[in-house]
Amino acid sequence: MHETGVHERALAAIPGHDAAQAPAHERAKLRLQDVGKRFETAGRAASVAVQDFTLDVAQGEFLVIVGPSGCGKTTVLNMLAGLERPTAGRVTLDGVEIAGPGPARGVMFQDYALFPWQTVRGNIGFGLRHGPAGSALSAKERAARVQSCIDLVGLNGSEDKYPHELSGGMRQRAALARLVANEPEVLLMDEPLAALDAQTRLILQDELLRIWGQDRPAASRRTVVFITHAIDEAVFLADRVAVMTTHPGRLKALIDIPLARPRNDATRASPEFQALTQHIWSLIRDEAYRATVT
Amino acid sequence: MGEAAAYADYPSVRTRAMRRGARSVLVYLRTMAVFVVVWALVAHLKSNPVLLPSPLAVMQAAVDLARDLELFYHAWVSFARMLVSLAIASAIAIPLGLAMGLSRTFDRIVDPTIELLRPISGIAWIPLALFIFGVGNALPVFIMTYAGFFPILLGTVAGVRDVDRRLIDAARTMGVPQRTIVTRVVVPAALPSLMVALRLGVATSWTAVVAAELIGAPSGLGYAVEWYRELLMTPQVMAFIAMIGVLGYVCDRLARLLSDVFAPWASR
Amino acid sequence: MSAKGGAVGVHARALGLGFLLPASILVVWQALGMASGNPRTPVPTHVVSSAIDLVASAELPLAILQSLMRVFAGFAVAAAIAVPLGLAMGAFRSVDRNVDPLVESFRPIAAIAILPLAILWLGTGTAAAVMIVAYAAFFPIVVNTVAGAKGVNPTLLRAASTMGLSRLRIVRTVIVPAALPAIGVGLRIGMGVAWTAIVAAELAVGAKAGGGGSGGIGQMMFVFYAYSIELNRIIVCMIAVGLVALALDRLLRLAMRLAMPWSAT
Ligand SMILES: Nc1ncnc2c1ncn2[C@@H]1O[C@H](COP(=O)(O)OP(=O)(O)O)[C@@H](O)[C@H]1O
Ligand SMILES: [Mg+2]
Repeated sequence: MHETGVHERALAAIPGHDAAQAPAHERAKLRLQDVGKRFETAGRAASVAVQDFTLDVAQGEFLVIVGPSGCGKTTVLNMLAGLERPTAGRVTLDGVEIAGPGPARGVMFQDYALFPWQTVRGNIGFGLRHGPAGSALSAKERAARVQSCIDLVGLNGSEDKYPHELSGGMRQRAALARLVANEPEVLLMDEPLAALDAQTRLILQDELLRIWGQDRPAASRRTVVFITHAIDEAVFLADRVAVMTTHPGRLKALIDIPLARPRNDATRASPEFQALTQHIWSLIRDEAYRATVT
Repeated sequence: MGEAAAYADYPSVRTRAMRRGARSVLVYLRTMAVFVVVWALVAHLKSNPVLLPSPLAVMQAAVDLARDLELFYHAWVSFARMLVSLAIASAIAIPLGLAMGLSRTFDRIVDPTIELLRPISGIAWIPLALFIFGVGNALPVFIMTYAGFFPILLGTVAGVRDVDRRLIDAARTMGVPQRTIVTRVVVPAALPSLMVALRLGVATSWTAVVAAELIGAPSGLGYAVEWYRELLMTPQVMAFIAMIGVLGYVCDRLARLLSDVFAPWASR
Repeated sequence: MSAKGGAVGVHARALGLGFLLPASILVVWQALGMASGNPRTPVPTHVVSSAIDLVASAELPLAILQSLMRVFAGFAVAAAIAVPLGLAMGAFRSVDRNVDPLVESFRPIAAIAILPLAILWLGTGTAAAVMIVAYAAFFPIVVNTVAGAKGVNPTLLRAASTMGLSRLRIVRTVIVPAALPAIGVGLRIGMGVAWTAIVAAELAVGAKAGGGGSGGIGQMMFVFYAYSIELNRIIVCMIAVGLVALALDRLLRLAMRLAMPWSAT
């Protein structure tokens, strides 16, 4: 597409990798069609955060958006969440235009957005208690769901702690549990691992895939849109990686990640993993370099 | 949906800010108009001009008081007392606060005494001060100085303590002498906090002056309010009360202006 | 010496230093007072014996109690209006825009300036005092509540809205708890000014109504000034005013800590 080089050749060696081949995913869960977002900013000309962004996310797909900081990743995610309206194009969920936030699309924020006045248990059960997600459940069923989510992320023993008493990794787990407790059809995650140290990050990548259900059949998995600026993280997690560029924020490339699931440390060590990482890096390197000197 | 848009509070276009400014003036006038109309209605229904005069009567009284300068005379007296008091309070509190902020030992010696006195409000000093100073200028000035002293002192101490240690260390590694560090690093860094403290001092001493003048001064806004109450001239009472509000607002604006001039880098 | 022993030593020395100044002030005051030869001049020893008299005769405790009742009544009125109003102003821009002009217009009017009106309307008794207290406490509470409700971390609001909560529900489940620390600060400041206001109001009523039967600690002080000229007793009252202010603040602080078990402090 852009540069053909050593990475393209390495990628060609991976079975199933073919840019021309249509994605295996049939049904589009989320659809962004020619989406644009302009922000009117003080005095200056309006800034275009996102332009001509077209992307389908299939049911059960794990889609990761990477790109240098400021390229519009959060803006795209916020439009999917319904927190921000596009100024051009359409954003749809199951063919229905997204008009505002809703419990079908759960969001995990970069700084977790845990409620400081709620314990771990209170945070996880917040949407069930106060939102529509739990309105069909009895108090007992709700408590059981909360407990199963606590078990799922391994926060047993910390259920009654407040967020300020937790480590970064535990907060991240609590936020993840809160996200899945509401059982949204779509999980939207904005750099959820960015604030963690490198080791915790690797561990939580593994956990995330386990909770997403990477060993289950694709049909029973949730749809995920995950944002990161770490390329290795993107490659490790994704079915497909959407690479964005800055000014204006555009989709530069869509790259299939045909690495077998379940993925683990062996995946990280594989030459295919390295090649994909290198390839994506080559796509954004020049721009990332420019960003460090301007 | 409009509420959801309110979440994204990014700096807005200047023209839009101006338009919003014009609109907020309109909203202000509308709210106050509603207030005045309600007041006029209640006054009309009550029809007791001593208990609740109509807005018009108060306007008339204010204009009359302004015309023979009585309004401005008392306002000036109170304002001048406050300026004098704040000057005295600052002259004591700022150096004391700098010393307490810089020296642990000095702080340990002085702080308990300050903390013993601080809960005793300036107003509680009025009877004793009346005995010492009698009715006159000295009483309100003393009470206001006392009331303004503590916020200014505490703000100075907090400002000095909160100076980023690394700034001081940075200056030290550059070989800057101690005294210069105080004047060139500590004071500027503490200035924003000091300015906030000064505003607080203005507010507390303004409250105190009205009380002090009400009880023990032959002039000033507090005195005037009480004087016209005894004469049952309620429109005049209300006009002076309004003047207390206006001047209180002006004093706060002035304190902010001072902060903008001396510590323009301090964001509010 | 162990580290702990060192710390204790430092602490003891700090305490000793702290006593130095108040102690020497007391000594100098006592010496000057005794040297003046005027039996009216207050000295620490007479202050102490006056304090014992006033407490033993129950005069002082009763006066404080009367003032406190007024403060609590006025404060409760202020809080009951200011907290809901402040939350509504902080959560809904339309309420804020329409009510804020009124709040900002009356805020600079010192509470005690309202006293002549209060006396005119309600007489020199408890009702007027309660009105002054409520007026004084209202503004710090409302202003801090608004600031707290407006200052809620926007991501928390977004998080709640992505879970499908209605705006009203968000007010109750996110804005109220997030604003609680600021409300607490407002209540503490409000209580402080309420106590100051009651003393001022009682003093002024005492001064203007010729020591009429309004009672309370402020009026008690005025009587000691105007009628019996007992300066030692006035000083006892001043100390009592300070102690009550301190106790009220501690009490509210404790209440806030109990109400907010999640706060790190
Ligand atoms: N509410 C907003 N108002 C104005 N500009 C914004 C707003 N949100 C984002 N932007 C701008 O849009 C661009 C993309 O931002 P964002 O989506 O946050 O990038 P990313 O998440 O990739 O770092 C940036 O230039 C940013 O300054
Ligand atoms: Mg972002």
